[in-house]
Amino acid sequence: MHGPEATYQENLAVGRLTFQRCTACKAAIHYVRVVCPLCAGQDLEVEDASGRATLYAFTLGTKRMGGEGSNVALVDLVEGPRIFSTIVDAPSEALSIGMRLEAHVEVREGKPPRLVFRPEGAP
Amino acid sequence: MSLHDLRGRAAMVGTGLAGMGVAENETYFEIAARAAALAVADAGLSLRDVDGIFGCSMGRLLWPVELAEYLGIRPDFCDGTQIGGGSFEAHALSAALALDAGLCNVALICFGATTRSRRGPWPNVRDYDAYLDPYNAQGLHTYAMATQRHMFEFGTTREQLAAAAISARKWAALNPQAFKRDELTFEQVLASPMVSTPITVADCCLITDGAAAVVMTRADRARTLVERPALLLGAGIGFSHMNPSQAESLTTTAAVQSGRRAYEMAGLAPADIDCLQVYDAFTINVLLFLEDLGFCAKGEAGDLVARGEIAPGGRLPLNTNGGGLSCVHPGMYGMFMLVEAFEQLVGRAGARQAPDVETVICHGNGGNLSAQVTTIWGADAAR
Repeated sequence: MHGPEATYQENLAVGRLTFQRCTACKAAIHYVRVVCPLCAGQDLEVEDASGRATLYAFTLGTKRMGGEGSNVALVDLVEGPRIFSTIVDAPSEALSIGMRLEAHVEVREGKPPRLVFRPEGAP
Repeated sequence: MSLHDLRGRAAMVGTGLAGMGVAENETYFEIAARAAALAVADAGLSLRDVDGIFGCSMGRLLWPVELAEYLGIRPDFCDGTQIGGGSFEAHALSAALALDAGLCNVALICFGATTRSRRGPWPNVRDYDAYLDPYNAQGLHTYAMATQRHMFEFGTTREQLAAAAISARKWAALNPQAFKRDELTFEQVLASPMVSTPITVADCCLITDGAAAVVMTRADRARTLVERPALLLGAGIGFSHMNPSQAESLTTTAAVQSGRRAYEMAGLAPADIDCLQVYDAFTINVLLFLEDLGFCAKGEAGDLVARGEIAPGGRLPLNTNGGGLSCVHPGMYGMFMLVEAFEQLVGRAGARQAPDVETVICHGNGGNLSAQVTTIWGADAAR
């Protein structure tokens, strides 16, 4: 069996962000699963995300916690799912709830690829 | 069989606290066992009477087994469910079920940790989480973002959150067992260093040592043991997510569900509650649970707290021991809330005693605002 998580990570590794669509109730699902968390349907299709998103919430790390300059965020894909991630290529003072973002996959040496978001149109 | 059949069928009859604050040269089993011994003695019982063991810890997955061994208890029933810091409120519900069903006769719920002294028990190694670990996600992040959203959606202010921390400290000042009892001013809270925006040190619970235990029996036996047992009138649980991305909202918790179940079982409403214990891992928790448990409308808890209504002398005495913010928090606080609920209900809370307490709501929270457990306790008169 090749589970949906393996497929998701393989897609992410080539820069492709996907989510699942439940064929029964049309729910958009991320993270990927073998069962729809809304209707319990098991026929879930992989869809490509547009990568467009908005910022729902974020918190800025501090020196005190060894996280100066870092942030974590909850990001809403325009297709619906909310994702725990981080915002890159933006100074912390530029972050605001509701700002438009786009997905980006960071390729990291010796580590799995990482889904991050950056301000829409960032260079 | 309905929800109501369990109402008032079991009761807390004794409590114990040990190693509160700093337990310098004691192990966590030692302080947990001291709390257990105090609790059974408080109930007029012996540790040899205990035949049901309940509890869990951050580490030591087999906590009930290890604690039973330490105490020489060979239980007929157990529940070591681990759903975060509010697990013990869930244990109280399963203890009531087990007692009512005759699966056990004397239930001990017990927890202890030496977290401040850095001697554990430490959380077990968790498997890699592909959706959280790449971002170094911590529990605190969810509470920080919930605070940010509450401020964004309802205009909640730093001053209102500060009022929650100051209220906790005012109660703690009245409690000789509380860890932080010195005066806390608005200026101090507002100048407190940032931990993860918008949460400051003053918004966070303490890290202390401490152990607590309660004993429960069936209600009929409880009345032969103590003058004023604390009857479990209602209880309910609610889960909303583990990864905060899966929460429908960061500003409405599953306490709505757990509270609704608990009130329904108890046949009571928020207006019937005389005293509140809510799991204050962070100041935002106080606001969220006041709203979600029906003590005010969504978005209005900031005002309520700022008016001093949860502080000593207020209409809604809340976290009367000083809470996780100022009394005790060795990683899991829910056990200590049950103890305070009992103390308030039996009227022996001393200088911090709230007036005319016939009912107490005791609401546990676990994980990343994930698992909610509401319990409602009452004296015989509240039945």
